[in-house]
Amino acid sequence: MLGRTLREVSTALKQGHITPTELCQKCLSLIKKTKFLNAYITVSEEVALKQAEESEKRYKKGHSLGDLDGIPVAVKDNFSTSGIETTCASNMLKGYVPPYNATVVQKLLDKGAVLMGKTNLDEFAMGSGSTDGVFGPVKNPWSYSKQYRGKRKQKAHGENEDSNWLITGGSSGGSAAAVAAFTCFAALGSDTGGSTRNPAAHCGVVGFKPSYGLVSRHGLIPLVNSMDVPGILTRCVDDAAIVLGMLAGHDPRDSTTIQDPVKPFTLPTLADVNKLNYENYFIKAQKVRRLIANDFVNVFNSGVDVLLTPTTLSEAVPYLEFIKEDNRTRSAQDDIFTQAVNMAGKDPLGMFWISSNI
Amino acid sequence: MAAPVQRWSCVGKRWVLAYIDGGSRHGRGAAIGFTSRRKRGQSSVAQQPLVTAQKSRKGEHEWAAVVGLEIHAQISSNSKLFSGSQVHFAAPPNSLVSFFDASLPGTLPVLNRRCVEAAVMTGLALNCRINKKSLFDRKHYFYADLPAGYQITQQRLPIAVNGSLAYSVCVGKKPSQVSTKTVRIKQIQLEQDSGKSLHDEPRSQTLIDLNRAGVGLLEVVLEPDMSCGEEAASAVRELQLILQALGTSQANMAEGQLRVDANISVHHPGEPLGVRTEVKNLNSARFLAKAIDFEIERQIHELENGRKILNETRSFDYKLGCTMPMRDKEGKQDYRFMPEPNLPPLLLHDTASLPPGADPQQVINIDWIRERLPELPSETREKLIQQYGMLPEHSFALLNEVGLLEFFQNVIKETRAEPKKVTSWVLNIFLGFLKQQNLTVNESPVTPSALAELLNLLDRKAISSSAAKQVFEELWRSKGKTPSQIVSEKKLELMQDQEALERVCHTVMEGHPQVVMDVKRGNPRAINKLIGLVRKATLSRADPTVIKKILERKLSS
Repeated sequence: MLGRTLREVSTALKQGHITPTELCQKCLSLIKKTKFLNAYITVSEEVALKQAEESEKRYKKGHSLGDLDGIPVAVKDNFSTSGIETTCASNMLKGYVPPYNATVVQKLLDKGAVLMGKTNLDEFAMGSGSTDGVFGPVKNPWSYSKQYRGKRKQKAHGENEDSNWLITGGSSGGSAAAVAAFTCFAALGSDTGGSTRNPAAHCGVVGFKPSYGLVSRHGLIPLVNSMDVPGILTRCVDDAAIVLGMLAGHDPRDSTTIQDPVKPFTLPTLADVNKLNYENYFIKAQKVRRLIANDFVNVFNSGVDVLLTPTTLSEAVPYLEFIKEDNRTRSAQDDIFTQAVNMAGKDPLGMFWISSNI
Repeated sequence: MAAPVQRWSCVGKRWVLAYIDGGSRHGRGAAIGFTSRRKRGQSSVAQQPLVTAQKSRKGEHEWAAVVGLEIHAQISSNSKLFSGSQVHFAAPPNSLVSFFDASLPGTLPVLNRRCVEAAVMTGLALNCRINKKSLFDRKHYFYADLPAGYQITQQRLPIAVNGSLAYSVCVGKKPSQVSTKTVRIKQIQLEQDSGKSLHDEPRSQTLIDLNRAGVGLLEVVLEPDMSCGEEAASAVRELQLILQALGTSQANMAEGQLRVDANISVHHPGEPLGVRTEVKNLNSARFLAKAIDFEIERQIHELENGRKILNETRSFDYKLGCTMPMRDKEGKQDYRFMPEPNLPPLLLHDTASLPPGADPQQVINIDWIRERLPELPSETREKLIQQYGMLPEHSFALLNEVGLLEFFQNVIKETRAEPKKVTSWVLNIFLGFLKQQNLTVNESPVTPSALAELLNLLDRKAISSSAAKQVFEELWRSKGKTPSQIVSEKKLELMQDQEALERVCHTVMEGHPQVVMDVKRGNPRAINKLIGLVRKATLSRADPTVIKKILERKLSS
């Protein structure tokens, strides 16, 4: 059952083949079994079981809230969750329990989703490996696949079996791993320079980055305000579409969300400030960004509808390999295919990246 | 008589060191000699001397002072500039704080429409150009009452620019000698207020109240077109009245709704401008002029003694009456201004540029706001002058007290007395009583109706004017009684019987032949004695002017 798609499980719930509580318990059990992946910072067991119970009541009455009702989901730990610790994998927010839900979290809960827990990430979403949070790195579930285990056995005998595990990529590695390991059917990540698409590629799941302004950032603890978007991780494209349908839309609490999806949100124009050195860097960077955005506009106006590019430079690398360079270097390297779209901000067609494990 | 001293004082637009006769020139200090270039006013002392110049210098040494102001007015709105928490004065600490005000991670600003409208109204009233597009920025600095570590303001492109404010200053000793001046308005910008820090020295702690954090402010920047404290105070006063008339700010300095920072420098006329200091947080109308004048004198004194002025920030110590450098300003602050990424450009429209089918709830139309601007103080004063033939200084006085104009107008409605009479009674007697007992117009025990009735009695000569004053006093003291009641209780009615009055005059004249002789000999003051005697005989129930007429008639016959 856990290997099914979201849509398939939803149908099963509606038809009574499985109850939300059973589903929830299976996922919780699997989370415990895969604890070594370190995908979750907080497992909200009590909350999840309560939500599952309520979902079950709705199904019994025939009042299901829709496709997401009773579906286990996970949320990256940089989204504000009311009553549940939100750390951003940092000591700075350790013990911080927000009093409100991020808009996207609230929307999921309003549709009956069951929150399994908060997933691990690079500290404050800064990183491309999910290796630099204070709760330790996330391990790619594929490190434990038969193929990879076989490869490792061939390479080094007697070595500690687990020393050569693969990174998930980042920064939404916990969410990617949670979905890839079948502990939930959808997870929220965030994407500023590739942080949803990169780990999706490395973990063999679908990672969707909506256009800037399409989905509310209210409650998403920011990394770069003008580039951050909530991201969606699922096991198939159709599932991502279902979740996007629930999350997209103008939020009065986020002034950067767009009202009319057809008209593009224009980037603010730049003022001619040239006082201090660092402002010259900032303004310069904004100008380069505008050139990048224009590039995309030109391409899409020239008759091209879809751009297909790789997401990552390589397949998932072992952790020991990855940490040979520092965070900043790795981020600069690994964001090469993904960063450009975040800079372009909003595109009327909506950029869509398919991740595959080639 | 005090020995003459040398003092810096304002002559025209110049500050001069002159010998001032210690005794004779000390007026109230209100009359300052500012005029246009043509007229050189008298010199006068702006305040008690805090800096005495060296006695060795003789003659005059000219300095010009330049004063600019940054005024912060709290916007009168239900909720804050970027969040939904309420705006109330004196609420329990930290009871009006939203998640955004406390800068909880992940919260975002949402612009308050009412604050934008307030800014547009104020800009229009001050003859500004309203920028159809304006931008928000972050101004970074660290302080405990600024949870986010930055203030959202409009540094690059504010909502309104290039306006002007006309105000009046006294140019002579007489209150009628006023001159209109103009100060240019550089810009008006929307920005957040910070929270409040309460320093608890004995316990070595600072308590933070975030009720005020995020409240909308209008910062009004006045160009350095003013030359002394009096001008600055007058400009601020007029701005206060405008904001109150618009309803965009209650602008009460005592409640912190209007705060003024002054930028002050001095230079010799014809030479470049001097180094300026900033005097921050002038929160009292009374001390505004004092603080500025002190700083001007201080700077002149320093420069005259060969020292330099530091480009620093100072505060005004009300108790000592002097400016002091503020302690924690080390070097120049780098505010690292950055565009606020969570707020798109603020776009305003006029009727011509309104997008078709636009939802009026979603757009702001400058023309629509302009058409609905309330009457400004200058218009109100002009109307009073035109309608009632009032003197300009009286129109100022009526607008200068909260509720006084309304009181005046209510009296006018109910009385037949001449407007000039009403004006005089309201401004002299009524206002005098209020001030004496430190009451506001709202707290007055005398209602407009009561005063109107009193003036009616006076108008039809049912009572004399001295009797009227007595009645007023009684009205003030005892609530519930009407003027007519008091008049009859105290038997203050004027004698209406002309014949009886003539008989009394006759009797008095017969009884005091010596005085009559004095009058006939041409002593002008003697008749007053007769009048006094007649009044006494009538128990003050006769009109002195009528008595005088009768006596004069009798004496000349």
